[in-house]
Amino acid sequence: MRTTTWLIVRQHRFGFAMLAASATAFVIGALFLVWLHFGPAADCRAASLQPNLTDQQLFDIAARCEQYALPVQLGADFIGLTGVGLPLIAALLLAAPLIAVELELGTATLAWSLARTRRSWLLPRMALVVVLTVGLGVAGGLLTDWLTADLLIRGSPWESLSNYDSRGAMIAARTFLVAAAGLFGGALLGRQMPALVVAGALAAAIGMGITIENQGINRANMVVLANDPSTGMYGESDLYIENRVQVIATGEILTWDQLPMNSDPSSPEYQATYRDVSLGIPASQAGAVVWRNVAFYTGPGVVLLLLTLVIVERRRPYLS
Amino acid sequence: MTVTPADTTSARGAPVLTAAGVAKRYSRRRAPALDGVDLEVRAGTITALVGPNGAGKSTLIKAWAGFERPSRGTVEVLGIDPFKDRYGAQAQIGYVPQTPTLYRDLRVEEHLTLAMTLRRGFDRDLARRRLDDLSIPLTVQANRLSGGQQAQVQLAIAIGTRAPVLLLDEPLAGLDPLARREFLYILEATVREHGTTALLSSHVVSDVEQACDRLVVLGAGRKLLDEDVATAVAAHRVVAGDALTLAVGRVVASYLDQRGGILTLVDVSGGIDPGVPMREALLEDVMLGYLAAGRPGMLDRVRAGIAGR
Repeated sequence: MRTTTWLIVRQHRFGFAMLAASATAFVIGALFLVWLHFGPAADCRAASLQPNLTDQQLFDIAARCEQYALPVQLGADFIGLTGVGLPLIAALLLAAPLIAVELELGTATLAWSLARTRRSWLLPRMALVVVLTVGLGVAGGLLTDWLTADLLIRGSPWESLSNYDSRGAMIAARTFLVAAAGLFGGALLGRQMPALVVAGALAAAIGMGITIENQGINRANMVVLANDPSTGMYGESDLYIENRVQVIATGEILTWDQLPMNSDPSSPEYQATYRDVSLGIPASQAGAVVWRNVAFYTGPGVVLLLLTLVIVERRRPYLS
Repeated sequence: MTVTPADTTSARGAPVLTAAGVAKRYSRRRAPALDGVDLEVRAGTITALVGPNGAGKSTLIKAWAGFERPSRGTVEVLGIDPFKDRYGAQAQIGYVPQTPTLYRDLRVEEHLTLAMTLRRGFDRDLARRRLDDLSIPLTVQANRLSGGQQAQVQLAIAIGTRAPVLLLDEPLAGLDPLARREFLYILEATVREHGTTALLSSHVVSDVEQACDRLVVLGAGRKLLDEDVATAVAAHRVVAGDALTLAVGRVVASYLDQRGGILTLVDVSGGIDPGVPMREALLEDVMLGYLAAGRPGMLDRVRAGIAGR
């Protein structure tokens, strides 16, 4: 197995170099997060989160912590960009050429004429690419989760819907889809550049479809979000979707268009009859929302991997 | 079914590769690559598969390798249809393609390691010995090898599979004469030592003369000749010119000689016309005659070209 892995890495050095570069970027990101969590910037955040601070105290904290603002912003941007983008890019650059380059250069002729079965040739390659790229996606997801926990929310990132779409398991799931699309495109087209383009477009199209579907499901399941007593707003970990108006007496939810034409929100009569409410998905549903999305991404990914197996089994080992 | 080389040797002369009514059409607009070919390649032989470009040689070899499914008819390797039991058939085959398909960035030694990981029972030592015989360094990357050395590495890998059948799809195209000779020497040695059967696609007369004991000629997707090399040479004569009327014998085709003259190959297996002066055919004449027969109208096109100058 080790020999097979080493040979696969040697055959696809560019893709694996990209993977290694991404992993290095994540190590740098992790070092930044360690600094953010345990260094002097952490004291500033802890101080600013103390209850019942006066304006003067807040001003003093801000003045003391200003020196960290820029490095924190740059580090957060770095993790935000690399954590979300690198796994997807690495998955595409590694997966799309994996089979395509063998068909384009004809080396599949040698490999497939020697292999006990084409499946026995493909599966270790496919598994290596999927495991490594999804592993990179998991690492990116953990980094962005950690960043969210340190900068945006107070509780656990896994019980929060804050930025849930661009962190955590969603990154790993998207990476899996992109890797599967890359393998599929490569097996189907047998040329590297077209495979990269088609796989990218295919993954983007599926991703867009999932986003639209997910938004529809979230809208269909949105509820009135409870206000956080300390802020008077919905919780930082809730997923806000939109504002509406609730009839206090009946609990009926109205859109702004359904209010009487001459309603004046500042009038005592209005305030006695209606209250503004925020609708969305409460943080308690975070697990269900995230795992539903993960299933949405992995489902098509699994189908694409199965199709890749079928294509490799049936196609010629060279371009006709 | 698994057949070892020893089994093959014991069944010397039995058909190893068979094609029955094989036709292959890649598209409706193009002429068929193969058009009803029946062929048997017998155990322990080196058979030359000869024909002009587009005659269907590669297609036929790829059908046996399980890469090109015939549109009609069946192919079998040691009785196994590669499209019903691909891996059963493939286990009997060592395949060397027309252009070397080595991994550019892998060293020669790594190719042997790769072959070991892919093919159960791959004989790395045997492949190494073949490469050592030719002083091909194992530590060099494939892209640093000459074309001849790359072909030799492919052949060594095919031999290392210890498959009873070697399918060689014009592996000598583009090689210099010395590299061709070395390649064929290794091939002959393997067939002698292991009782392997080899099918070698080529259009070079000296290759066929050096290594092959049987000659199959394909033209326009059809089988034109299938004889032992010696029988094929003995059964033909050459006549100068092309406007022939023979009382006995069959005109195969006319072709240009080296000086631009026209020669005609005549099949005299049914008898020799005493009224027509003929000379004995060389293997080159037989191959040229049948290559020309596989390319109808070629001579007319050459004449038209000469007249137009």
